[in-house]
Amino acid sequence: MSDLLDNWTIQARKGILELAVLAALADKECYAYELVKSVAEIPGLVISEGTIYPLLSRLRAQGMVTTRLVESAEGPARKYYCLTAEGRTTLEMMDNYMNTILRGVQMLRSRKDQP
Amino acid sequence: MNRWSSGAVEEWNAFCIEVRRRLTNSGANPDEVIEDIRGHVEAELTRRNLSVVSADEIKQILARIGLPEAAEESIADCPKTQPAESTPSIPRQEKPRFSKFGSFYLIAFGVLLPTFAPVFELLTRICSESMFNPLPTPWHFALFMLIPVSNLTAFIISGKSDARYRTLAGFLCGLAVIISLIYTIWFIPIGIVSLVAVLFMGLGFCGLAPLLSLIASIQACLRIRKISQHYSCRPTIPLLKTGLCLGLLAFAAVVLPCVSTLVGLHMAVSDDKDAQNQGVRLLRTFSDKDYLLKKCYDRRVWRGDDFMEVVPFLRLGMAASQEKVRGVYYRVTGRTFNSVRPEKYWLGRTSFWIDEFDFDQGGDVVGGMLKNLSLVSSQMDATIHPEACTGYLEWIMVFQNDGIMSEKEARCQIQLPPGGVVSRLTLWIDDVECEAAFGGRSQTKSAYKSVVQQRRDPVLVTTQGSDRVQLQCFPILSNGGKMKVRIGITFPLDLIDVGQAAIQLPVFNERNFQVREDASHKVWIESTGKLTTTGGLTAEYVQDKKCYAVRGSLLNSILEQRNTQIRVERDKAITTVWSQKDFDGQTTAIKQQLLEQVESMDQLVLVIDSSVTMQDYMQQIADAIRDIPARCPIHLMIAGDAIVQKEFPARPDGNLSSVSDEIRTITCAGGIDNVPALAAAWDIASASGKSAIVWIHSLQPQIFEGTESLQQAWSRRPSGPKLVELQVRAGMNRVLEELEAVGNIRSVSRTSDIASDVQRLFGQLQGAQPGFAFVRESIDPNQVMPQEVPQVTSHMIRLWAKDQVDKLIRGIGTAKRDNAQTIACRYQLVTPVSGAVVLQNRQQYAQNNLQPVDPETVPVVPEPTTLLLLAGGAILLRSIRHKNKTRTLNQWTR
Repeated sequence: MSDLLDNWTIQARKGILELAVLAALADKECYAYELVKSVAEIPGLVISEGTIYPLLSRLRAQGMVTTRLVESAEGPARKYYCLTAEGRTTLEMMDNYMNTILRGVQMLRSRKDQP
Repeated sequence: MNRWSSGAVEEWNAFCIEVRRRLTNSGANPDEVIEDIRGHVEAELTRRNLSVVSADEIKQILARIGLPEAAEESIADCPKTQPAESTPSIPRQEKPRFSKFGSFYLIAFGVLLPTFAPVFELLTRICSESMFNPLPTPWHFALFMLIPVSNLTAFIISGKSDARYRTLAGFLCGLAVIISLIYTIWFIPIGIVSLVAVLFMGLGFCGLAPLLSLIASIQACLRIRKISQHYSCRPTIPLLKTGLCLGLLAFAAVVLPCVSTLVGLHMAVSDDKDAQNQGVRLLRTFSDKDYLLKKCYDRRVWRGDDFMEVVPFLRLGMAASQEKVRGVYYRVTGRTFNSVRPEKYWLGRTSFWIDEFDFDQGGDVVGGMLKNLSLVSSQMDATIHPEACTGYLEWIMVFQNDGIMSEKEARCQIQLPPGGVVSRLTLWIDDVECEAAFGGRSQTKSAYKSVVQQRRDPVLVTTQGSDRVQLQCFPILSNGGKMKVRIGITFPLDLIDVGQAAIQLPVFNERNFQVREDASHKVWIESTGKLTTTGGLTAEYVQDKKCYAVRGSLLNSILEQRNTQIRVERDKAITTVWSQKDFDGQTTAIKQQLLEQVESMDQLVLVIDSSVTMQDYMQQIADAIRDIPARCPIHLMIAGDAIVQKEFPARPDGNLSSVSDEIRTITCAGGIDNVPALAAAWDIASASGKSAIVWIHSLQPQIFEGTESLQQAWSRRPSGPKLVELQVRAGMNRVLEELEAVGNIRSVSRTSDIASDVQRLFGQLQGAQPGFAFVRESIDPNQVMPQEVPQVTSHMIRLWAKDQVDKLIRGIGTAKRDNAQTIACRYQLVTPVSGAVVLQNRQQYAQNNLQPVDPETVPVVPEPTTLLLLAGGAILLRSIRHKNKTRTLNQWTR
């Protein structure tokens, strides 16, 4: 039973991760560590830098985000990520899709609860 | 700065390998992810402020970062270890090492040599003078200078670890490689020579600069690749391909105008008419005009002045004769090649060949403009005889050769005042005035050529069509040598009305020398009639000489526009004059009558040239024509790349506004050969009884079709349509030169602005305004002329002699021609059958069977006899008027 839950949470997390990163970038550009912190604030969505860098690389390759280097006083230059127009559209679509699914699941549950 | 222990490095490398393995087929870029994680690790280490980074520290940081989640298929498919070439290198703390020789080579042959070589070439022009011009434009120079800049950048960046600079270096490396590769190919012929020179003499590295810098640029690429792999584990050079492509594009952009010019030229000189027109259109639209001009001057066997000509296809255009290329230049630009200063190398210097060599020396054409040959002084002195309606002008010119190598010949074509004739030629030899010998045309020409070959001092004047002469003098010595010549021109005045005449100054149509800015033409005209003028000159009354004068300086550019108006007032009562003088032992007496002529044409065929040089005049012509009454039908022909014809019927109550509107729509472009339009105009005009072709045009320096059909037409029908030509500005007119033998041509002089001249012309042709003609006839020298017929200047006799020569040469038979030559020589005139030449000594004259004229017999300004005659004439006139007045008074009082 616990294996099933583990697998399910891993799959769910994988699916939601892109949405979470795009959502974190919706308002402002962030560098990777900021993103990790932002995403990690979502309960149950544990994420490490090792996971987020490949994800950002993929999103950049797909044209969802762009990057720029900004000099940092604390060390090496930081790479800031910013949502593209395409990324913004995708975020909106993902968001709608997610809400639709969740509403559907909620409806199923509420129907079950009715006598 | 942290130093990494070997354990830390190993830990990092192992992590990189695992990251690569996990990210295979994940859609993420492993290089980018590793670079990002490395940045993160660096930041972490900086915060911890460690001097030595241990394996544990790295392990700890990497553990916290965590490995990426693997793509499901990649874990199964990928091997545990990566190929050697993509194995991540150690982090940047340990810099990659480069060989000292490599660094030396990169700086010496990749930076210093490619910087020095083009600068050396610009300063010395060694390659340009001897082989080809490797840097024809500043853009070529800028492109080549990218090589040392790129190599230097690569050298500096190879010592840095910042990824951003590596991208820039990769891009510049691409540029440097492609540019140096192109230049290496281009320099192959020189490279071989340079290699031999370097091997045997240790000189000639400049010729090898492209090849050596290509090797350096490749080395720079390898450096960037190494550094890129070292720090970011990238096996490739960032943006290298982009640099290569952009380098290629930049080079293409630099050479494209020249390539387009060569392609257009190739088409324009082909035998196919359509291809010719397409080529000319291409050249007008998109070409390098300076480059095209250079082609007009160049006669070297192997051109190679440009990179493009190394390519066989692009050399096709060069198979054409230089004459054809010059013709194309005219069709494209509307200017003759020699009306433009010879092209310069950028930075001001000109090719030695163009500076110093005169390919047309001693020939019959004016030819290309020589840079170091100038007209440094010009003086025009004239005396106007209003009663005789003649003028005599002496033009003294001083030429100077500032070249350093060779003696030069000054050649020019001079446009005489309409109906004018050269009656004096003088050359100063060792400050002594030497008068010319007048002889047969070919006789004087061959005498000149033989003396030119001996490099002595001759000057020659021959006619080149109606109202045009060619002057040539040689040798003008190098290093500031000067030559001073004078031509005297006898000319009839152009009568505006019986009481007023216009004076037109001679002007250069074509020349192979420049007119210095400070060498304006100093004009001084005197007359007993009142003189008026506009534009740059001033008119005054000279009290002590009791005559009027027009004086001042005119820039050559102003003179060429032919807008300067000089008018003289004359006594309306005098319509008949006579003159008498001894010429060659024989006394000649001539009577001249001034006749008013009113002619009205049944039809006018108006041919308008649409060359680009007409652009400034087209509006004025349209404005002038608008208000002219449409008394006869007008057939308008626009001479363009294709001939446009329109017919406008006569409108007794209307004007030519519709013709004017049509003229306004003309688009002027390039240089147009007007012969086809004239031939078509002749066909139309000859169909009607009394018609004239009115040809308003600019210069006609090139003929493409030939004038044979026109010559045939007028020789078969000498009384056929009259050709009335109005040339708007000074310049060559090959059409009129070739139609010299046709008697039915009338040149309209420019006496005012173009609008007034056009209106006057149309007024005369439509019978609204009278024209004037002089009838000169020989009389018995012993005949006593009535008192009211004044005796005037002997220049009138010279004009009579010119008329006789013209009549005789239009006749058939050598006897008439010989007779014409005898008359021309007796009256010392330069005509189509005679020339004037000054040789250096008696021996040369004797060898050529010529005799210089007696200095006592040449016309001068002012002519002493003329002044006496004028004074006498004035007294006579006054007495006649006084008598008339007294008679009238007596009649009235009775």
